[in-house]
Amino acid sequence: MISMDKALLRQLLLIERPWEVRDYRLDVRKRRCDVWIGQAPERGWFGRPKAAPAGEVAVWQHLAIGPIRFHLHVTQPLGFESKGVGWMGETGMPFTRALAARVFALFGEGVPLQSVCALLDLSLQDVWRYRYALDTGRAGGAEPEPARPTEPPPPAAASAEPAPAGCAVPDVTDPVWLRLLDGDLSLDIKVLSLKLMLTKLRSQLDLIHDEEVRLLKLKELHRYFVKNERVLTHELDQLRLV
Amino acid sequence: MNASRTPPARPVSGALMDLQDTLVAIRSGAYLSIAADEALLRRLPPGNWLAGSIPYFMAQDGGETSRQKLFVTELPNHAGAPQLRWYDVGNLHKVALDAPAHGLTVLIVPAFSEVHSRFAREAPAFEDMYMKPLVGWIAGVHLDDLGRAAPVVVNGQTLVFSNDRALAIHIPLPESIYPRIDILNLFQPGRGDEIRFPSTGFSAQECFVNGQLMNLAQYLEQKSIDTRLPLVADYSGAMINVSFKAVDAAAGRVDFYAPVFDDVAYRIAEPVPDYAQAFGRSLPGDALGASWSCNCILNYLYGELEGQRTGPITGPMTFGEIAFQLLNQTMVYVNLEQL
Repeated sequence: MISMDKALLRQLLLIERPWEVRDYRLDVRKRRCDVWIGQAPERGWFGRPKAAPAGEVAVWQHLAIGPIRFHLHVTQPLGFESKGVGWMGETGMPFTRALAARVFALFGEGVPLQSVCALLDLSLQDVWRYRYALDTGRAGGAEPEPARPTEPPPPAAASAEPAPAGCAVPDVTDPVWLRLLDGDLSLDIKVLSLKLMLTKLRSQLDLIHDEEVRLLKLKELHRYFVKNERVLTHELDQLRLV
Repeated sequence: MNASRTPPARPVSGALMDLQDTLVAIRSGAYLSIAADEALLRRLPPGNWLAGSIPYFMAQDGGETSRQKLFVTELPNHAGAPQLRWYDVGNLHKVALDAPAHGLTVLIVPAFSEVHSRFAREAPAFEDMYMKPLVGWIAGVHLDDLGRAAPVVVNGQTLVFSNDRALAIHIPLPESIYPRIDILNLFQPGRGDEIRFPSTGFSAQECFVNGQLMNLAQYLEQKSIDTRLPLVADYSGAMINVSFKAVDAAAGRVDFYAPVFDDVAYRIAEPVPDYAQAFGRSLPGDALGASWSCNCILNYLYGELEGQRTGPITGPMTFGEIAFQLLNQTMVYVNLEQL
């Protein structure tokens, strides 16, 4: 196995003491590095380490470095509060907060799920799990992400679907979308998919309190209108009169 | 077998035909959606078709139960070859993602399978669901065979049969054609109590009736509710049913043919006196040219539709209908509209 300095690895992953890299396994062929992280044990007399405290192990995928995907196996002391730590994630979630923030930002730009997977080299299963958690209010939006100079921005082609010139769909910043989602504005809807989608989004919005995730839902509705503009003339006529 | 035999004229949404005519249709190379009893499906040659098992139909001459005939619908093929793809519980959530950017997907799911359960509970949350047109149906069996035979889904290109995977055909369409999916639900929510459920699932014990927690089975018994009438929910103007499967008053448990959702308010439907007439009367004019349709076996049974017609639309009478998500006691149809 290729050998690497654990202290260097800790610094590359922006992990601060008292956390330390206990072990790692790099598989270049699979472009995957598993890293085991825990808190450094307290030292007793003569520098002898005390027994490591009991803890739970969580595994999250973290931001990649170059082509190598990182999976962090973190032993957290019982009751440890990890909020705000970018290289850790929420319980039950597949990604660290830093990676989740990156995925969330792409969702916010309207990048399709499969493109998110391709851009960030993630499994569809994991991204869908994260998306499902967002939709059901069990995950929040982006948290501040630590600077990672090695990561290139996503290509322009993958950004949100812009409304074409002459588009009858109100801009995504128009307050009409939030009114529609909140149920404050009612439309006479003829298209079945819109009836079902609007019901789903309204129901999700009841559970979502994170403003950024709510904005994501709003963009989803807007994307639906842009994609289906030609068959939504009855509904768009009503939006224009608001 | 007479390969040069010409099939008779048939409704756009498909026709019930004998094996010989089906073979002719398959050999024409057309892409077909087929519904028939499993034994008959096993006699079909390879070709561009997908199928599900069911022996109940709304045929061109009226409702019919048959193990000797097949219901065949020709699928559009205007913009590149349609693609057949299997889905299991692991990749089912990709079904809408895999659909062409502009097209139509027809999905057949075997009843009682895990993939059926997963689709019923989670389809509304699948990525790109509602963005792309998706219809389909739940394959079943003759009611005499319940518990003895498993519903099957078949890929006609490979002749692979499955009772635990769903099969989709993703059909690309030109930008000038819009596949408008619509439903015809005879049921309207009644003026009775509002019923909500504490959790999503195919069965329920507790529910909230006008906000008050009670046992659903006891409630249905106390109110002498006719459980042939479904629960109906209003989805922004679309009436969506959940049909009762069984009520076990002793165990205090009620089973459904589709899941009840914890974020939806339901009401017991108003009775429908004559299903056949109601279908004919309620069908909007623009539905008459529907290119694909299916209806529910419960409508067939409760409405006593055998021998009766429900207007000009034909199709299999299935164990569940799909218009983006799983439906019960509802006719689903697709119109290919020129934009």
